[in-house]
Amino acid sequence: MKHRKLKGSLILVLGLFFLVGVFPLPASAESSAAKDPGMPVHFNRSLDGYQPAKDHYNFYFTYKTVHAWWDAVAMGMEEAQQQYAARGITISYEYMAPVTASAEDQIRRLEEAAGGSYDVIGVDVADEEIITPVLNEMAEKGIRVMTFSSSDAGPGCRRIAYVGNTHNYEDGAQLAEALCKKLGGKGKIAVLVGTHGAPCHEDRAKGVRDTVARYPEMEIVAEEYDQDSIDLARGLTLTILQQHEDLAGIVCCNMSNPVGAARAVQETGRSVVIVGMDHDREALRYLNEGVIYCLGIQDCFSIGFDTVQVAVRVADGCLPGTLYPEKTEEITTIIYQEDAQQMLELLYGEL
Amino acid sequence: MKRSFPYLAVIGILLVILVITAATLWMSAGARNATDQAVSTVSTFYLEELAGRRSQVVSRFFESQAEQMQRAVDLMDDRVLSSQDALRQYIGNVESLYGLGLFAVVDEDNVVYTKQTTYMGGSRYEFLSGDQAGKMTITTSSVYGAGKQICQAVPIHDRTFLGKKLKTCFIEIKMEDIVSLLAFDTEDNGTHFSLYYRNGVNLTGLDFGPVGKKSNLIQEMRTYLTGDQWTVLSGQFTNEEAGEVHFMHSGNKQILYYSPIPDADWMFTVLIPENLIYDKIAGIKDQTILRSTIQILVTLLSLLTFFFLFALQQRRKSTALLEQQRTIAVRDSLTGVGNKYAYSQKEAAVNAGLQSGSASPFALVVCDLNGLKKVNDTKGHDEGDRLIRDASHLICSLYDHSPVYRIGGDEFAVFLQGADYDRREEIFEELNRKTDENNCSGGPVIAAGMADYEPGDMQLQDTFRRADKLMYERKNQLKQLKTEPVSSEL
Repeated sequence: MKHRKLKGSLILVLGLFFLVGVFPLPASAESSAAKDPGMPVHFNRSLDGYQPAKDHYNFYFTYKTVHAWWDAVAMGMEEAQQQYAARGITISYEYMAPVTASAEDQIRRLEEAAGGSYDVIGVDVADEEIITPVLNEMAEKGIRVMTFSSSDAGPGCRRIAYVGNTHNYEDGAQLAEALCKKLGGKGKIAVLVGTHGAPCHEDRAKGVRDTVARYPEMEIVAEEYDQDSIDLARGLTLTILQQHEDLAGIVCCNMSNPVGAARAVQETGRSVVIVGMDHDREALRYLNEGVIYCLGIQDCFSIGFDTVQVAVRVADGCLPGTLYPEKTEEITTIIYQEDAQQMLELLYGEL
Repeated sequence: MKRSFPYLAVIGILLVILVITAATLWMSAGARNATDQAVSTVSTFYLEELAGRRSQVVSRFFESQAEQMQRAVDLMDDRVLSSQDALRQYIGNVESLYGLGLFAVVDEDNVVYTKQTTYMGGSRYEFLSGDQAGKMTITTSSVYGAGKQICQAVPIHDRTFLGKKLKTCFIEIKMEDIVSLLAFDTEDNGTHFSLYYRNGVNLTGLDFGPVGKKSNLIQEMRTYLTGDQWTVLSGQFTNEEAGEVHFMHSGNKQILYYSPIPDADWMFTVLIPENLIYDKIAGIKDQTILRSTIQILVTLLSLLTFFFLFALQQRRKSTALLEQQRTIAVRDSLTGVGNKYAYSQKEAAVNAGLQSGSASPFALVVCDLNGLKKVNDTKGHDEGDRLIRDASHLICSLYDHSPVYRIGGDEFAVFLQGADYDRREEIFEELNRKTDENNCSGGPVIAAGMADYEPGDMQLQDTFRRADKLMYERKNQLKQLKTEPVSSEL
């Protein structure tokens, strides 16, 4: 009788082990457990308990443009790659982008990748209107497609999953709110956006517009696209500053915007409040010096790390649900001058 | 003369001590000065050697890595460059063969190919954007949380991959690996080392003593150096020149030495408190001084011992000489008995005793050797001397407990006290008997007269006169005894 009970207990325990191994906790739940909620970026990530079906995977990832922001995403991917390697699983991938953002270039790359032997193709959508149909077409052909980074495909896209920023609109709104409060709810402001059609940039710009609209004494007097170019952002800002001598603030919706805007403001010696996105080193230095008021820091490392984790599941034929969510959400944290030095040290070892 | 010798010895010893003490003090002062000079010289030499060797180690490390990369590029053939898979496999083999952390090749569009990944490197690697064609580059970058990465790149010529020219290959080196090349035992000894960019930014993040981990070295040194010193320092950093500055921190003199690392925009820096070297050398100095002091003390002790023994020997010699002189003064050189001077001393002592009433009873025997003149005249003085010695020997053999004096050429006196006094009659008879025998057989003939001290004697001379008188009577008697048989024979 005793033996039977013991045997039953052992079977139960082994069964639980089996269930945990095959059906680990959802990625979102695991992520939150591994992350320190106080930190904008989480470098101490570990793979969850999911056991991949193969010992080798080959991915193709393409993103909008060659830029330091995506290099940060790459660092998370490389970390996941190394952790898989430690488990005896080889992850090889290509992580490619044009020098200048272009939906047409992205289509060309996707078409080439579709002819290759990749387990999964991941896309940071350059232009949701143009790229979404291409992704649907690939999905129809049985190609496993996912999106990642900061820009998902358009509604109804048949891509399998998305890992990245799911709250670009809110990010834009938060930045605008911070600016409006800083300016006391009145004044003329400009909005700098990145690439035309890039969902993340467009969503943030919309969030900015909607937020500013709630302040009757605030007015958006200019809205320009810098095509993810710092030089262009600087030039556009100089023009705006020249055209609007009473400009009080600038909202920057991508990574290049705040750097270009800060350079221009510093050059002209004007007193303009700048709020912007991302972790560019120069932007963080401007934040540290007080030229930039606040920055929205995305956890690019986790985006890259989770993208590889989700890609492995997608490659194994797992669909979103129990194993991972359809959208793996990564955080954005607004940081101010007092946080700048810590961030510079954390991200760039700048002492 | 007796007193001057110790004074001279003491003065001599004091002079020796003074000279040795002065020499010791002079030597100590000299050792201190020499130590100070040695500290300065050794510090510079030590730091130059240290920095030079470390710089060479790093430089050779980079040279070695560059050679390996070049070899890897040289071995890239058409098969390797035929597909991405072949290239990745080759890169993996190179990493394994050379033990590299990451080896990558880059094409003209800045596409980076590694063992398992292909990615865009234009925004990630500074050296890809600059005009670095044709030369080896060593750059550092801080990529988003990955810490400082060192990239060493060498150009690739005449290689094409998938229709695009390969322009460079590079390896990523961890800062820890470079630091481990530079490391030396600094535990608890106050020495610090690090690598700095030419602009003074700390490359390694290592603690650099008073400068700290985070501060810009050049800017921080403003607080420690004079304007001229600082200008030299910043200029040497800018121009990648080796140099050295001294400054004070927390009361200690610090030495900062810096030396450029060839091929990299870095300066190897060492910071060492001078007292560290001073303490090391001072230990040697103290040992040397201690050894010298012991040597001097041993020398001093040896000298003192030598002086003591010398003085002792001199004293013994002089005492012996004095005794010898004294003996010579009171002893008859021919017979060895007391001489006339000794008898006069004895007479004075006896007289003093008589005057004080403390004299013990005594007797005096006065002897005269008969026939000495005749022997001298007929047989020579040597024979005469022999006769005197025989007479003396006879007297001494009989009066072996009493002082015997030769008070004239052929006259002796024996002062009797103690046992000889008690047996004086017996001995005197024996003397006369011997003399009688000798008178017939030819030995020394001694005419002797003995007189006891009598209470009326005021001085020894009184006793002497009586004995002398008796001696003459005996002398006459002996002459007659000697003459009678001769006459009968005639």
